[in-house]
Amino acid sequence: MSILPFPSFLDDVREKGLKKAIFEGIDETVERITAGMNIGDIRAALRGDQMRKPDPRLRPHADSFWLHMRPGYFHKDMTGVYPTFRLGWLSTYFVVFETITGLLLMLWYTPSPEIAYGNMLNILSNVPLGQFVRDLHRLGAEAMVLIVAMHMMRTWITGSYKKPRQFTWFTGVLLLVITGLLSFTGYLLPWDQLSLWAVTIGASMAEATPLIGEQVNLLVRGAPELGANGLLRFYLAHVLLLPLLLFVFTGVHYYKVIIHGHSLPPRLENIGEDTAKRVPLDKRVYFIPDIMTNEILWMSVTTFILVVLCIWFYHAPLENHADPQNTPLGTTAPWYFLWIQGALKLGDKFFWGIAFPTLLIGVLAVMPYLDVTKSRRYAHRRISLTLAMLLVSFTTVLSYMGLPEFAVATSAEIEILHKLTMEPAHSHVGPARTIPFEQAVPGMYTTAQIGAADARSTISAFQSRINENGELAQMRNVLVSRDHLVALPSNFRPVPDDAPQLKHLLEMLAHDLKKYGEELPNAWGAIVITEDQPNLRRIDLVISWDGVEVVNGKVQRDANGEPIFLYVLDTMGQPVLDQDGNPTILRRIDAKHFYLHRDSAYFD
Amino acid sequence: MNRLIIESIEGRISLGITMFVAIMVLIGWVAINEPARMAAFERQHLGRSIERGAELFAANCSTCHGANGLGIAERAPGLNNPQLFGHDFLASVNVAIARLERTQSEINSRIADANREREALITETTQNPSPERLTEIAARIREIDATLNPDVEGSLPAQIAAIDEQLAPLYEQRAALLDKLMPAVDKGYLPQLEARMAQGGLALTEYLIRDADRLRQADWAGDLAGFLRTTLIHGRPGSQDAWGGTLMVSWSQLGGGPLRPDQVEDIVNYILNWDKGDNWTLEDLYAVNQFMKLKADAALVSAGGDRPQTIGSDVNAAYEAVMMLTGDAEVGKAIYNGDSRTLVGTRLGCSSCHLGGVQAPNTETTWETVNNVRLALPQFAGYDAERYLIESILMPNAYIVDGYASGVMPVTYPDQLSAQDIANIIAYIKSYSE
Repeated sequence: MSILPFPSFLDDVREKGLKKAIFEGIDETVERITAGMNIGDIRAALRGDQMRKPDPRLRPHADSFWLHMRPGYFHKDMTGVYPTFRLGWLSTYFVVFETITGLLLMLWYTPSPEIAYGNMLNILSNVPLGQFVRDLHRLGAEAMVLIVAMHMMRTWITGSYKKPRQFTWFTGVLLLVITGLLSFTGYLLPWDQLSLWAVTIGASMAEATPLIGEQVNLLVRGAPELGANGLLRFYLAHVLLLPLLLFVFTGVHYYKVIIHGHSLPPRLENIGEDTAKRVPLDKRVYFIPDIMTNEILWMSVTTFILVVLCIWFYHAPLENHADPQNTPLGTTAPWYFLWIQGALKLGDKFFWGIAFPTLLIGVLAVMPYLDVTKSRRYAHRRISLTLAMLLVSFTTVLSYMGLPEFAVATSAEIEILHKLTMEPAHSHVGPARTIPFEQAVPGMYTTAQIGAADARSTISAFQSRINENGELAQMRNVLVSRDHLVALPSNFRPVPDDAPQLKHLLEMLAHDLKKYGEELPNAWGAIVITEDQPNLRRIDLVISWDGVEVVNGKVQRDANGEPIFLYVLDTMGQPVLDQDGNPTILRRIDAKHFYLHRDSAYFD
Repeated sequence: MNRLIIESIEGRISLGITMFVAIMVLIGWVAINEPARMAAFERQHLGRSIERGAELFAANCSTCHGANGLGIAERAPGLNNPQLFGHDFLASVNVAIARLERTQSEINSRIADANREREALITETTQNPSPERLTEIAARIREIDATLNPDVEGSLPAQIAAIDEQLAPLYEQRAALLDKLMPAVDKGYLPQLEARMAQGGLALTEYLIRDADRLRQADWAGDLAGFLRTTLIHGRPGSQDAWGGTLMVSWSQLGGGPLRPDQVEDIVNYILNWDKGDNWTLEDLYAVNQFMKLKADAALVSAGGDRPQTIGSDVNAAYEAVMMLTGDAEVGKAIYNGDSRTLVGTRLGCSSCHLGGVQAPNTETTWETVNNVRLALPQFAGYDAERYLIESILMPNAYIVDGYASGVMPVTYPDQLSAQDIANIIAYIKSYSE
């Protein structure tokens, strides 16, 4: 007779005694949670003992939700690093990793051009672990793109896309595209210069679509230019639409993997056979506990690497606030889209920007249906493997071509000034910005000093020369009238000995002027440092040179191979002659400046 | 390759646990360092913001507020300015004076009360009070007389005299300090000083305390950042009345201007970075070229008594009038540089812009340039240099020299100059070529 009106734990206690009742209760609970394995089963599995029949290690795969998506056992030859390199599992892990870090970031983010950038600053300055989580999310995203792409290449190389896994491959290509788009849409959200312009370049391809280009562009950006609507669209795509698609297709992809089993290394199977689902008893490695511990180990190692990278080696970039009016020099798309930017330099915007990538992805997606040869052996797939290697090489070369260094003709002076003073972007920063505040000693310095035996006399000779020929006045005019400098220091001076970084910058400037000597004949450079506020200095870099005719970065030459100089012209278009009757060469000058605050250290 | 993975389950589990613990320790370590890192980021970010602010200020604000933020005479007030940051050079002495003067005025009102009571008591004696009441009244009047007798120690007038004694050296001290402020007063510091000096007493002291602080002068209850921000957002409608036609416009996109909110913030941070706290010196005050003008002042300026007539905008009439007069180059130079006022009572700052050809054509070589270059142009046929200059001053936009913007030079000079002033300025410009 029960104490309570229904059978209860207390009855068990009365019947079996307290200790036994508790143990049995726990055992039963564990069995329910694991959907089939009691404590004894778990112990046996971990120790590698003989399991009872029917094998309890397989029950969770039949009864539980999470494990029904995993096979109960793997082929022994699948448990090493090769052939999968665990890339598929890592891709899945990154889906979860990015979701978790992304959800944390969402707590602090508002998709509005007025607020978004302030949110980023808040995350960095006011949210404990904010920078860390943002770094993890950003680095994880880039790692995910890389890992998913490598997963695809691995599948291609081992021929695992072949029958019966054609559709698994197809969904895999979709997942690759979705991953790329997720990364790309996330790029815009910080609303800094880097994100705005990288995404503008990426999105500008949409415009090239024939007939409906304008509509597609409006649809993507929400307005002719990226603004409040565009940001909201990218945000919603990033946190809602694309994750939804990603989860759905990850499910389909995974389901297909379970249905067909993991493909074995090609050499272990007879040609045309697929034995993944028929694993002999002696080749079985059970998911519980071997594969499971294995996978958890991979996760913890990967996470550890990411954590270490984000603490010491990587910080997600954040440039200045997005400014649609100000296009930074040398803007690039995110690195995984650089190949498209490179392709665009080959010619037609529509063909290379839209048709070519779409065609490439399209052919990739249907590849298993085109390549219907049965053999997965490497020796039989020479063409396919060659194509894979060609694809890798081709995208690498195209990505290189996508860099601003390639085939973008910028005049030498702009190139030099930009290189030395650029704001941090893509983990580069202009060396001029990394000068310690103490070494940015106010004064006027000239490249004439570099290599001179007696710096002081060389500098004073230089000063009197440019004072006489009007180049100093020209420099004053550019810095003061054009660039709003308060006033030039009165004299050039040698770089102080305790400012080695300033000296180094001057040397770099001199070196660059020499390197571009053809485009910039008779050039000199100057660095002008002035104090604007007690803790704020202004650094102007100046280049002055004899004007020559330059077309597309090439100096034009006359019949004798001499460069064609530019001359000062009078109002009638005739060269102005000097007192010796020679035409006066047009002296050209350019300058770029930035301000340096004591606290705003930039790092190399 | 096949066996790269850890073979034994114990190895996997222990390595996994090690990794997990390592991750937790690292995250804990990051978390411990977060407050310091966040503070460092905030400092660094403020530095960057100031850098951007400097760029924006140079490109947008320095045209009127001067390259160093010191203001331009008669164009816009200096922001690199102790007054803006509320630094009161008279603070120590004025606080002491104000306390004493307040005590004095309190005592004075007590004296008035006592006198009133005494009057009332005397009136009462005429109304046949009872003998007892009469005795009471007599006693009370004796009491009152004692408190009002300057010869009695501790009486109210004696207290006032004692305070006067304390005040005398303080007043002397203040007068000496005020003397030192005079160069700034000439540039618009403490604009109502003259009138308040005439009032004297507590009114003057309170005025000095109030106007030493730009925020109190403007009746601004918030902090300086808020004052700067709101000025950048809304501009200062009506400021053209005080500033000879130049107007502080709205700079923020919120108010229809060009700058984004974050850029406005950058400029605010840059301006705030001029603050020297307690270290402002008189030299800093002297360096300011122009202080805030209140709208009422502008009205005062043109309401002068028997000052000569302004010249008006008719170039022909002005030319006739000017040619009848002889200019004094020295006086013209002082007007030109803003060192002295015109006969009409206005102060100009020609040299702020016409210097080195920065924002406006250079005047150093003007006389030659006008004669050799400008008058050679077909549209100036029949002009002489004087006519050209008069037209340029009175109607600046009639002709714009190549490379300069139209609409920059104020068009208010017809109301700010007399014929003699123009003659003096022309004489000064002419003196360059001699």
